Amino acid sequence: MRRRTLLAGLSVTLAGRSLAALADERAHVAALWPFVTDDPEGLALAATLRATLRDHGKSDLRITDYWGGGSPERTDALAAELVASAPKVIFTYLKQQLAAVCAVTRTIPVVSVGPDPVRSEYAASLQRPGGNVTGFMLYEPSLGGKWVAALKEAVPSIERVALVSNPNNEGRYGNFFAEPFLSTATALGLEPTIATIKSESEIEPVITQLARQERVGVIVAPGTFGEANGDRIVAFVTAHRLPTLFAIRRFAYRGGLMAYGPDTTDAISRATAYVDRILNGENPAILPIQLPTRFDFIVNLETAQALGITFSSALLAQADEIVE
Amino acid sequence: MSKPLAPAAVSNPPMPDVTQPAPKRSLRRFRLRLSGKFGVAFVGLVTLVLLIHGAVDLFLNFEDAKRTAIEVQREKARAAAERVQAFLSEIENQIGWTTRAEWRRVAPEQRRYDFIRLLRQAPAITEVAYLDPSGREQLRLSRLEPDAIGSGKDFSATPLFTEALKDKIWFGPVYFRRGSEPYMTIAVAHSGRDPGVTVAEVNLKLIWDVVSSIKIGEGGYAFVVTSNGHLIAHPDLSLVLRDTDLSNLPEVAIALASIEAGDKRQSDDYEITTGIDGGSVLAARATIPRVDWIVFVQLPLREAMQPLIETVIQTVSLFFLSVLLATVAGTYLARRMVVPIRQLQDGAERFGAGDLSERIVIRTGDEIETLAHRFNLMASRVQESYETLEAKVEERTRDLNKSLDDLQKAQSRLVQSEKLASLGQLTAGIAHEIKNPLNFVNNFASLSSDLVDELQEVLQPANLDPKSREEVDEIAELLKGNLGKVVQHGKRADSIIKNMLLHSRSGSGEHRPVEINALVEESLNLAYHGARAAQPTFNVTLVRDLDPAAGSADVYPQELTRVLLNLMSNGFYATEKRKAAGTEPGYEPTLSITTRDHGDRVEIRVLDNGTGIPESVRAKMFDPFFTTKPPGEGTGLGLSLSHDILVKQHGGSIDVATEPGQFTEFTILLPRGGGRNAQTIVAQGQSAP
Repeated sequence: MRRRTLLAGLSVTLAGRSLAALADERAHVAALWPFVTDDPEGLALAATLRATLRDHGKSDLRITDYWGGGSPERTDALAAELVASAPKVIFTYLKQQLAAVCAVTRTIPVVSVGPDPVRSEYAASLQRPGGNVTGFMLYEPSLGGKWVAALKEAVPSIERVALVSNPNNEGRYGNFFAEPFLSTATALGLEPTIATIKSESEIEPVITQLARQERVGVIVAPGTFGEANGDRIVAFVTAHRLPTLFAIRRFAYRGGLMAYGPDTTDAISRATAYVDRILNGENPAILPIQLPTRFDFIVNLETAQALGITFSSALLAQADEIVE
Repeated sequence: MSKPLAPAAVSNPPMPDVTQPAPKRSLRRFRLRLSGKFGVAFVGLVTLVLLIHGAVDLFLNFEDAKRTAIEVQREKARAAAERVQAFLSEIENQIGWTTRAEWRRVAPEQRRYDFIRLLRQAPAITEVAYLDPSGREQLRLSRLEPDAIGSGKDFSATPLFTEALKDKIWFGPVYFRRGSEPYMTIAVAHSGRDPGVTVAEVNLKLIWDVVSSIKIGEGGYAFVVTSNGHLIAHPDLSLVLRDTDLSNLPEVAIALASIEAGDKRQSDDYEITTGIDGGSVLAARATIPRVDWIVFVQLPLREAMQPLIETVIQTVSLFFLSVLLATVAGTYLARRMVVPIRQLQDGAERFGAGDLSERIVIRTGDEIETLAHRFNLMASRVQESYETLEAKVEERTRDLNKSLDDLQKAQSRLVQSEKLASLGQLTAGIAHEIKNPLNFVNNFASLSSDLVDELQEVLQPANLDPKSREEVDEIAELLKGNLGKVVQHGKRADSIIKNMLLHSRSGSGEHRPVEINALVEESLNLAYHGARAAQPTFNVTLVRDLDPAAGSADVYPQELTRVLLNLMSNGFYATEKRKAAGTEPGYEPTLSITTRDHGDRVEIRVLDNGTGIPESVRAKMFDPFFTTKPPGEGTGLGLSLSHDILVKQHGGSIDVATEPGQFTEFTILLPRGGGRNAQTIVAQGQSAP
């Protein structure tokens, strides 16, 4: 009996690595996405997350994806569910997801991609978050101005510009992008409007309302709502022939006129490094929150043609990708 | 309080008694066997040599490995510095083609194109601006903000403008955007007369790509700090983003100090110190002079010293292997050496236990074999002496037995002498008492005989009838005859008593030195004539064999003469008796006297060829009153007296050798000073009663 115990102990000792792997397997990672279950973008990003983690040597790691879509209620419910499953690390994409998780737990490490946790007061500062939340930001407020300038350069004829925002962009200090957006628009002689869409049903009336104005350009701000309803917005703006700039780059490929936004795949793969480090025992409180460094400018010539817009060569020179 | 203490105090004293034997035991345990000593000495020597060798080897290797590792690290530090510099140069180059001399004259639209291209090609640049020769901003492009064209902001007084014009290029201080991301401003002056300046904001986070691609062994890495110790590049980007101040890290502190002191020497551009993550590291550094950055390259000391550690392991394992071998060899040798010694020991133990039958067999051909030989030799000697000793002991035992016998004989004789002495005293008393009445008897018998004669004379004239006369005469004759017999036997009794008195009162007379041969001659003549006088027919052949060397002895001549007379007359009697038997026709009675000198003793022998003494008589012949002669012829005191005179008075001895029907020989041994010594004995004997 004693010998058997000894042998078992010996085998455990010898198989130290596999035991560690077992422990890793037990401790899984939960990812909360703002996509519905079969969204190809969501699947692509989830695949990126998996592939990068595998590159970090975590091939046996169990990753559970929670597909909350754009629904705040469902996201909250899923957040509660995933926290109950006691994952080792929670990965959240975008602000609503981070907020939902943080409402349930302030102890399980969270690696967030998207929002500014300092602004949301989930972290003390960028260099030392000090809590359970760290991650990579996708946007900075100044982009609000950049978007207006880019849209104006692309469609010089516009006289008005509307920022189609959603509650995700609203924080304690108002709209994340409002200040640069408004100042730049004024500087460029444009009449700025911020239209906040709170629910799916409001999309059509808001867009229709905007379309009634003359020479209006639309900027669609990022956020969970934007991710979930981007295609619908594309459909409405195309229908109303509104020149639209999307913060989320993929909508330039889906029929939007142009997009200026971060490379989300890159951000996710870099965030994965943080997931890996936390799995290896590091404290999220001392992992700095990183700012975005790279933004891609994408123009859709097809849509431009359909709208009868001709891009200047200077604008085309700026474009990182051109959809033809 | 005192109660619990008391038993402790009581129980304490026996403690030392219990513990004291322990050190003794341990002392005994410390005793090493020879094999152990040899083994320890052998192994110890080998270990010492190996240790010294290993230590020297290690020392040399350590220096060598350290030098190599330092050289490698230094090389890597330089390479890393070059790569970081290359990163900066690359940015400089990219900015460079917006600084052509004619760039000032190109259309503003074209400038924007160039800046757009610059941003595309240099991802590290997040913002780029053009300052005209007067220092006013004409164009600004940013990744994050809207482009600003002709803002006219005045930078003419800022260092980025003035320093760039002066030095062609200006590297601004590193700053951290939002307290986190490291940025640096690079301003490059355009070429040509009256130049403008291109200003670029560079995100140094992207040096990370450079730094993290520098591979320093397994666990080493490179990092870059500014001239005030702030970390700007490290494989762990989060450290940089935390705006880590490393000026307190030992290696950085030393480097900063030496740069401040303007020390450019290369000799001390490495340290063995504690790294950022703790643990010893080998750190080398190189400076990038243009920006005053320091590139550190550090490798865990363990890894840097890996070759050394391998050498150590090798040396140590070799050491242990050698010690093991030495131990085995030492044990074997010690065993081999000790086995014959053990045999020797066993052999010696056997010898010691008295078993001398076996010999030690050792064939080692060395000193031990010689020693074994010696042992064997010794054993043989001991065995021999044993045997001799046994013979001697046997001999001594025999001697002792004989002495014991002699002693017993002497004792019995002594007892007899004692008996005789007491008997002599008794006899003397009785004889004395008897002598007086006997004198009366003898005197009155003699007187009565005379009186009978007188009676006859008186009666002669008286008228008596013849018949009566005849009767009277007859009675008178009878009386005379009776009286004569009384006198005769009275005389005999008197003689006996005289002899008895003599016997009991030995030691009479004087002792003086006497010529033995003369004494013997005189005694023989006396005896012979005495015998002839008693019996005229007596005849005997006398043989004298007197040793002229017999000399003189201090004796009581009277007493000794009596002894000799006694023996001689006994001899004559024996020869007469044999002759009277008449069974041997050619028998010739012979008595021979021999004297011999034995140094301090004189021997006198009286040999007769008479009837000899039967066995039954021999035991009692020295007893007083024992005689074989018919009654009236001997008193039975002759030999007894002789014995006393010779043994007691002269301290000599008398022995008899006889063969019944053949001969009797008495041998007397007299010490030359016998009488003188014996005197005291006799005197004591006399004074005792």
